Amino acid sequence: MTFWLTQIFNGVSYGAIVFLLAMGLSLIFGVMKVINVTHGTYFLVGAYFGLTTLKQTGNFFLAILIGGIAIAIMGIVIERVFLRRLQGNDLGQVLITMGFVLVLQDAILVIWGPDPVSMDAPKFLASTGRIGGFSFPMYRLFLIVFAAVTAAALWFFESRTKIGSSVRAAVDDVEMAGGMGVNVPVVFSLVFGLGSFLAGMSGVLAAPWLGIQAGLDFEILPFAFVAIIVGGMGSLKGAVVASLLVGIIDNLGKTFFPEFAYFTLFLPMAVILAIRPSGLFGRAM
Amino acid sequence: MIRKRIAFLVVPLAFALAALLAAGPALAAKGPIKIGLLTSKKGVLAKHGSDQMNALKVFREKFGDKVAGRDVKFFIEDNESKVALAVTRVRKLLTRDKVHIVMGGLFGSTGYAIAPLADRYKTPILIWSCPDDISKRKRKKYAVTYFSCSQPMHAFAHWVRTSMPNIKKVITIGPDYAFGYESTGGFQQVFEDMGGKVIQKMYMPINTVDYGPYIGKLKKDADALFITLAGAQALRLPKQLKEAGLANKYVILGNGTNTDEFVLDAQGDEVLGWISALIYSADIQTKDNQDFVKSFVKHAKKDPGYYAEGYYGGLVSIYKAIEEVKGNVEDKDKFFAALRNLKVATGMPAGPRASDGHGTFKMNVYVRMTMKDETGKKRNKVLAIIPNVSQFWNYKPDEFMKLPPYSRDYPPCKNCGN
Repeated sequence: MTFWLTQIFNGVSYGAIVFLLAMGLSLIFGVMKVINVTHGTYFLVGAYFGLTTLKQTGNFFLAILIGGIAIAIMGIVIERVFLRRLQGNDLGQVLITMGFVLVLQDAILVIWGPDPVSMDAPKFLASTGRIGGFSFPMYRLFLIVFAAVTAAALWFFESRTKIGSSVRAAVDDVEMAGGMGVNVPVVFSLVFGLGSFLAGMSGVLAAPWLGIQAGLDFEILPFAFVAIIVGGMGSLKGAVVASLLVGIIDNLGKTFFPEFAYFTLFLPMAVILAIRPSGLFGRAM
Repeated sequence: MIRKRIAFLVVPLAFALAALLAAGPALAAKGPIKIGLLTSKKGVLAKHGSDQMNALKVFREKFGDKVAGRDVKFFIEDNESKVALAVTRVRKLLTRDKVHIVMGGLFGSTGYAIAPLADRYKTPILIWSCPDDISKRKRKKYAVTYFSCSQPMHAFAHWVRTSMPNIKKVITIGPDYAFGYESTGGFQQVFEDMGGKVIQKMYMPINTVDYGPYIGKLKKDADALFITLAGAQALRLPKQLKEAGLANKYVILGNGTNTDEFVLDAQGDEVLGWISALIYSADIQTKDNQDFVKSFVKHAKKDPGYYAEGYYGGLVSIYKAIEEVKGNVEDKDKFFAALRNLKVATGMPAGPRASDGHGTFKMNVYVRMTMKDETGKKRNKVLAIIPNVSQFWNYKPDEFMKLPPYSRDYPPCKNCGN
C-alpha cells in the first residue's frame, strides 16, 4: 500500500512540474500555432534568474516571481521583434526558436558560467513529511499544491474573464476572432508572455529538486511535448490530465520496467495518437 | 627565343621544387609537435570541460609550450558533450590538423567511440575517460586509456569488505551505459568474491530527472547503497534521496565521481559522510598535489577534481613520452610504444603511475569520505591509499579476460531474488 502511495505521489508531483511547463507550451501553440522549441531553455534561464534573485534577497517566493517575470519580458520581446515577422511561416518560426536555444545557451555560459548549481528551498519545504508509514518529501507536496492553484487560476482566467474569452476565441479561429473585434496582436503578446512566465516560473520551482545545469532544458522538454501532444494542443484540461498521466506512467514504467525507461513513456503516447490523432482533449484540425 | 627563356626558368624551378620535396620531411620534423585535445565546453559536461581547460592552463604555465627541444602546438576541439560529435572532431584533428597525438573523451562511451580512429589513422590516442575493454578485450594498436573504470572499484570493494565488515548486503545504483556497468560491475565482482551480497541492481538513464521511482523501490534490508553518478545526476540523486528521508538509513558508498570537486561546491550537506573511491582527491597531501591544487585554485577559484587532475596528468604523461623518444614523434610506433610503456614516478598530483603492459596503467586508488573541514568547506578526505592498483586487481590477467566484460547483465545478480 505504502509502495503504491509513494509511487503515485511521486508521479503526481513530477506531473506537476510537467504541467507548469507544458501549459505554457500548449497556450502558445494553441493560439499562435508556434512550436516554441525555446520553451525548455526559458525554463532553464528562468531558473538562473531565480537563483540570482534568491542569492540577492534570500526570498524563495520572490525568486519564483522574478524568474517568471524576467522570462515573460524576454518572451514578449522575442515574439514582438522576431516571431511576428514570420507569421504564417511555420518552418521559419521553428527555426528561429531553435536559434534562440543556441543563443540563450551560450548566454548562460557567459553570464552564469558552466558550473552546475543547486538551489535550496526554504527550510520548512526541504523536510520530510510523514503520515503513518508513508513518508514523503515536503517539497513535492508543495509543487502539487502550487500546480493545482495555478491550474485553477488559469481556468478562472480562461473561462471567467473577458481577456480569457478573447484567448479562447483566438485558439478557435484567429481570423474570425480578429474580425469580431479581438485585438489579435495584443492577445498574441499576452499569450506568449503568459506562456513564457509559466516556463520561467516552473524553472525556479524545479531548481531545488532537479538542480540547475546546462542541458537540463532538453532533458525536461520532451516530457512537456509528450504532455501537450497527448492532452491536445491548447487545451487546459488536456494539459492537466496528460501531465498527470505522463508523471504517473513515467513513474510506474521506471519502477516496473526500468530497462524500458523511455519506451514506457512513448508507448502510451503512440497508442493515444493512433486512436485520437489530435490528443485526448484536442480539436480536430 | 621565348621558348629558350622558358626553359631557362623552368629547369631551375624544377630543381628547386625537387629540392623542396626532398627536404620536406626534414622541414616537417622541425615544425611544432601537434597535440590534439578533445573537451566539452557546452552541454551537460560543460563544467567538466572548464575544469579541464583550467588544468591545461596550469600545465602550460608550468611546462611551457616546448618539450624535447621542439615547440608544441595545442589544437582544442569541443564535442559539446555529444558522443557522435566527438568522433567527427577527433577525425578532424587527425586528418586536417594532422596532430601527432590526441587526448580526450569525457564519457566512457566516448572512449569506445573514438578508440577505433587511433588505428584507422595510425596515430596514438590517449583515451582520457576509462572504457574498460579498450585495455582488455578490445585492444587497439594505437590507443591507451588513462585508467579503467572498474579499476578503482575493485580496490574499493576489497577495502569495504576488510574495513567495514558489517556491510554485507548492498544495493547498486548506476547510470545505464558503459561507465555505470563498469563501475558497478567492478565493485560487485570483488565484493561478492569476498563474501558480500548485492541484493538489488538498478540502472537508470543518464538524463533521469526524477529519481522518485527508483528511490521508492529500494529494498529495506540492505546495509549500504553503492552509487555511481555521472554529470548532473550528482546534483539530483543525493538531494532526492535525502528528501525521501533515506539519507541516514543506508551507508552510502560509491564512485568518486559522485562527489568530485567539479560538483562538490554545488552540492549541499546531503553528501556529507558519503564514502567513495577514485584515482584522485584534492585532499592528497603530497607536495606534487599541493602545488597543483594551489596553481589550479589560482585559475579556477575552486579545487581541482579528477577531471582536472586527469587532464593535467595526461599531458604530463604525453610530454614524458615525447622526451623519451627525444622529440621524434613522427616515428609513431616508437612514440606510441613510449607512451604505452610509460612510467611516471614524480610530478603527478595523483601519485606515481606505471604501465601495466596491457594498455593502461597501475596507480594509487584513494578511498575518500566527504566531510567539512574546520572552515566549513567540503572536502573528499582521504581515508586510505591503496597503492599500485592494477586494472585486473588480484586476478590473473589471462583468466580475467576470459570472463565476459562488465555489462548490464554481468556480473549477474545472483542474490537479487524477488
